[in-house]
Amino acid sequence: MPGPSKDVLVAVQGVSKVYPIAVTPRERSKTLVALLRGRPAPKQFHALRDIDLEVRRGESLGLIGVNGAGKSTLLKVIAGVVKPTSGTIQVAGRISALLELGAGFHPQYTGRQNVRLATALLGLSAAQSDAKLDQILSFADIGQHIDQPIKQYSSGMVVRLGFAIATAVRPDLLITDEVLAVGDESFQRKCVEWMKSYLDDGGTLLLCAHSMFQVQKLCRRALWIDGGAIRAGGPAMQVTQDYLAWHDTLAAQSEKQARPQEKAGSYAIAELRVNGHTPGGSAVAELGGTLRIEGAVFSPDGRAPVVAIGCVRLGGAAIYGLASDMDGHTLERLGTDQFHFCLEFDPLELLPGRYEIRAHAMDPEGVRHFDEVKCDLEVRGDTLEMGLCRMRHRWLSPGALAGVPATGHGLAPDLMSPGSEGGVR
Amino acid sequence: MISRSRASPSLRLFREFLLREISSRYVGSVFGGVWALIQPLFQLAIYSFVFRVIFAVRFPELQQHSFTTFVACALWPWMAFQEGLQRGTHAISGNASLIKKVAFRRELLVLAAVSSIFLVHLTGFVVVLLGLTAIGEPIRLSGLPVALLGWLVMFVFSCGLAFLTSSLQVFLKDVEHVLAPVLMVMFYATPVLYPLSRVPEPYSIAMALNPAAHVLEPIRGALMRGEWAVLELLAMLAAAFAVAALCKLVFNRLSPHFEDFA
Repeated sequence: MPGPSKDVLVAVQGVSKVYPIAVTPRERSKTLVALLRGRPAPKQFHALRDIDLEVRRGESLGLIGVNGAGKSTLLKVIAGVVKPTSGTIQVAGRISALLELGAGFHPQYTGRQNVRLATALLGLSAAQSDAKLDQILSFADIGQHIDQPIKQYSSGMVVRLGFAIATAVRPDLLITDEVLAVGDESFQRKCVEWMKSYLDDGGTLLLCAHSMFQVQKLCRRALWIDGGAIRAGGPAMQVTQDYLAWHDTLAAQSEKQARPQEKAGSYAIAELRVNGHTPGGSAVAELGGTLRIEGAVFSPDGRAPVVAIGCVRLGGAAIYGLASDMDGHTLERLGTDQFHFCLEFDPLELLPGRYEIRAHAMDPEGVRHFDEVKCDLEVRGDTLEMGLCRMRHRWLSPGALAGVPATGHGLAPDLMSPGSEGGVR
Repeated sequence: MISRSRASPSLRLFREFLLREISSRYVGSVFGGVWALIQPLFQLAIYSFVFRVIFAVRFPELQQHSFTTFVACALWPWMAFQEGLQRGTHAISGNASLIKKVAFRRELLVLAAVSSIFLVHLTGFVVVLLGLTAIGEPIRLSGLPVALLGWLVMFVFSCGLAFLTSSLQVFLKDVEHVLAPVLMVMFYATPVLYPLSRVPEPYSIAMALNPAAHVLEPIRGALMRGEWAVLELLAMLAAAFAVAALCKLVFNRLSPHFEDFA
């Protein structure tokens, strides 16, 4: 695109924002003197660094990033609430900024009176405001409450009224900061629907959200802000996925760092054997055979811990899980701080396939998970049954039906075990 | 710089702020705006009692007027100036939630706060003058235009200083506490309860430097004696605008940081 065109609604060039840091009255007065003399404040914080950004008419742009990255400051700069320390911002058209739903509402005044001031803040004339009132009322859906003081409103009503006012003007550019995070489900749906129709009608949206789903759904382009600077920009799907991947790595790293200290003094799986195999190898079991899971749990305080055992399809669904305390089983003490467990499934009713056995160490109360050790398991067998595990069943014929007790429980033992006449085999 | 294609909705916004300023003081009270009249009226009654009845004050400058009329002419414009400045001081820090979230011209808040006080007290002033006339005080209502010019000067002074104090108040909460005693001293150092001509030699020079003296005395002269000291008032108006312009410079320099500190 050659140069700035009419299509550019917002042009941000080289924008930086520096906030003075002043907490104590002494710092505040020092900062005040510096600012009055036109000097930079003694202590500063760079909220935005050299941001370049263009928003074209009809575009939907989502800002993503961690808390404190500078997203809100950037929105405030574009909305004109914050004056940048350096750089230029050009805005062509009417902006409606929803930095906070219901900002400036006065609790003592009625909804109607608050609508008057809010529309004045949006730049509407009194006549325009009156003309929009019905539309605002119907969107906000607060009925006769409009003539009651705002302080009597529920928080949901305040939020609805705030959104209704901002959307009533059909702005050229709508700026929203996390507003979809408030309000109930139906209100959120209403907002998203409104925004979609607004975008379909050629509206321009600048949105800041923590929900990647909302960004993906509403925005075609996304901008990833990190440390006050633009880290990545492009198609929403790509940027949000990059961001999520980065976020996961970050979370994994911090978990890794946090783990060793915690592990030293907490419940842990000291040993695990699945049918004699240790984690790392792959245990083997037979359908209808025996699966034995045994091992030891370390207890830092010498109290008997709880062990939880789970079975998961490799890379998929959880199949079964239980904890020793559910069955009232207490682990047997091996040494001062080791407790032995041995759990047997016989007959094993997992269908042939690859599984993972997970053992978790838990506190004696059975409330918190501390450790997890996994072992692969391959179940072999010869069957045509489908799915993950065998379920107790039987086939009924009209003749047999008559002989069944009406109470329902107490199935005949011969019908319960698969592999006998009830089974497919 | 920020260029913004907003026409001038400032006037409507100013009106809405003004209405809110006026109503917020009296919302939920039974007598509403009547309170704005009652408070200075009581003050006037107290001064009248103390000085007329107890001290039996008489001085030639009163001519055929009562001491009550003499004080009333200057008390209301002074009250408007003082309260306007005090209310204006809180105009920015008291609207932090709006400042942090909405873009609009911040000076409208200060102007609306000061204007609301002036509107209320000007109404009270006219009511009191009419009341005094009704009970037979020889007040020259023909001097009202000159008095109004005096009010305008007081208004510009009040707004201008409020630009300064409101922006400083955002950073230092001490401003309001400094303001209260300063205004009290100013009240007694200003010829409200006495004429400037009664002040003895060494002090009178210092007092003559007080701009308020040169506004309140002409207002009194116009209403009590029919004097048209328009030139003096116009000179004071120019001075008031100069002060306001200086204070506005400070306001403009600090206003980008209101959002952060308010």
